[in-house]
Amino acid sequence: MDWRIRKFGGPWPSPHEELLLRAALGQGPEASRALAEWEADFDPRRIDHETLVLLPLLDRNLRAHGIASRFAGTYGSVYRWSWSRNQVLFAALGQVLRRLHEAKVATMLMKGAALSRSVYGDLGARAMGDCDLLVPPAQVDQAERVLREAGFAPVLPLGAGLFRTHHSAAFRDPVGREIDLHWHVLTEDIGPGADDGFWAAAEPLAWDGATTSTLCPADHLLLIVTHGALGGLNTAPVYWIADAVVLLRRYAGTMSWTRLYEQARERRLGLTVTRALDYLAARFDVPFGGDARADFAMGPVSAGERVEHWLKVRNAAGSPLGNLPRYWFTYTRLCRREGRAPSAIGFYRFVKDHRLVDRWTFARRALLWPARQLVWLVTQLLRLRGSGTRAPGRLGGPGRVDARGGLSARPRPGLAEAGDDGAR
Amino acid sequence: MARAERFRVNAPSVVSDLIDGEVVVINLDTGDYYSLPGVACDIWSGVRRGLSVGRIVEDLVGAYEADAATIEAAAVEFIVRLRAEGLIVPDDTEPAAEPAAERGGGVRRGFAPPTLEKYDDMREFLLVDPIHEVDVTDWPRVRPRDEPG
Repeated sequence: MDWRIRKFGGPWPSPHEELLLRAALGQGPEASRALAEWEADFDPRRIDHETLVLLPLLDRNLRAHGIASRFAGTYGSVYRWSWSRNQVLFAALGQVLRRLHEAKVATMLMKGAALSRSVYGDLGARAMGDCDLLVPPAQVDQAERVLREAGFAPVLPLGAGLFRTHHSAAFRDPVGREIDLHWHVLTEDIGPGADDGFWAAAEPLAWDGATTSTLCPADHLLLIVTHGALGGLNTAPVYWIADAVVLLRRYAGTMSWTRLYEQARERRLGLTVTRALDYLAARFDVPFGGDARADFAMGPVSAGERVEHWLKVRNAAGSPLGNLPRYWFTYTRLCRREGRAPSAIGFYRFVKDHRLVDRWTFARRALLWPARQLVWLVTQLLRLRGSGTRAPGRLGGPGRVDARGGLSARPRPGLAEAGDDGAR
Repeated sequence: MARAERFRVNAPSVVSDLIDGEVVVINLDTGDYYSLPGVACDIWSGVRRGLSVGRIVEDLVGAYEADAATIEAAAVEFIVRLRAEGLIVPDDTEPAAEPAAERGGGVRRGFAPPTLEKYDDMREFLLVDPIHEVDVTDWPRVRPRDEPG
């Protein structure tokens, strides 16, 4: 089965990226073979994002298995950089956690920072951009005050609209360290009570003398998978796989598969989870739920969930509708949590607030939208005529060969415009 | 410097780890990055274990081929440098019983004076966001924050 959706982008790695993952996650001869094959097409002078975030893990794995490489110096340098950078980030995070604890704000660490401690057991192996910190929605104002006192300022102006339509907001200190303050765990599932189950199952996590917690393994896997497989445009498409594989190996015997599937089903994310775990099981030989998986597979999947999954993994941002389908599904979940029926005016307000624009800017963009789509359509047609092949989506896939023949960066929303991976 | 004197790592301002036979140290207050290879690595390890200066020197004498005076002079000079950089501070706590020095158990290595490689231009680079700010060509090139992805 071809798991990749190459021409649409999507969450699955390219064959070259998969070799890197095998070298970074495999053992002994398997890792050696994958490394040799991957290095045959590796240029240390041109390292894309997806490669960069995996090199520390690769370095650790090669050292652990005594595998030699002509690029060992490069991998070692990137590992040292990752470790050093994480130390700088974690020092700030520790201070913030202690202040939040003193202010009696409940906290939970997620993704990179938490996984470094609880799953990787190595503070350099998991490169990360920021630290993800969750607080209860009712304590966001307190958390914001504490962050400001600690020298962190929001990257974007905070307000009720942002709070209602996003799951997080980025804060940055004067030297550039970032903490992503979450009030919801998942981008897709926001609104009142969305995280009650996550908080109830949270597990304690020691962090340099601070008291905090992290998601239980099943919930963390749900977050990793949905963030990776359905994630925002600035989600590297490979490290979610590394996170999931390392977590599955770490908790192979104790993972509550029933909880994972129940949580996924309740949040209408079951299809995403099963597809992602099918991929991991097929390509990386990790456990994926046994009987619980089989029971879950027999359950119903709504048409809406199928459409949402289909659109998201195909990088719908490259279509004329842009992110509107993504917003719509998040909006409908929000409506369900708020106990109201979705409506056109409600969706308009949601999108306007989510994009953090005033009504006039929103109206101007809406009016220009048909013209922009026409330009896009003509461009696509011209490219089709010129190349004789089907053109990729507007954004293309992650780390793909671009028109200049080099590896292209995965685009991300500009800082002045909120994206889907937090309000940043 | 008294041989009984002990030092400790200046935590939490200073963090360190042993990576592939080399100690990497960061002073989080200054952003300076240090690399401690070889003998320097052994001295740092001794400080981390709470050993006295005298005991660290004894261990080095047991591990390296050089006369004791040479090793002691080099080690003390290095510890003074670590202190001047703010990486270690005097430890006034009650010392635990030190384990006996390891002597003659293995092959003694050639002695080279310990070095402290300092990189004071790393601060900005340490803060580069690997997900959003590293450009894809000629790594490491930092993409300006306002440059679109």
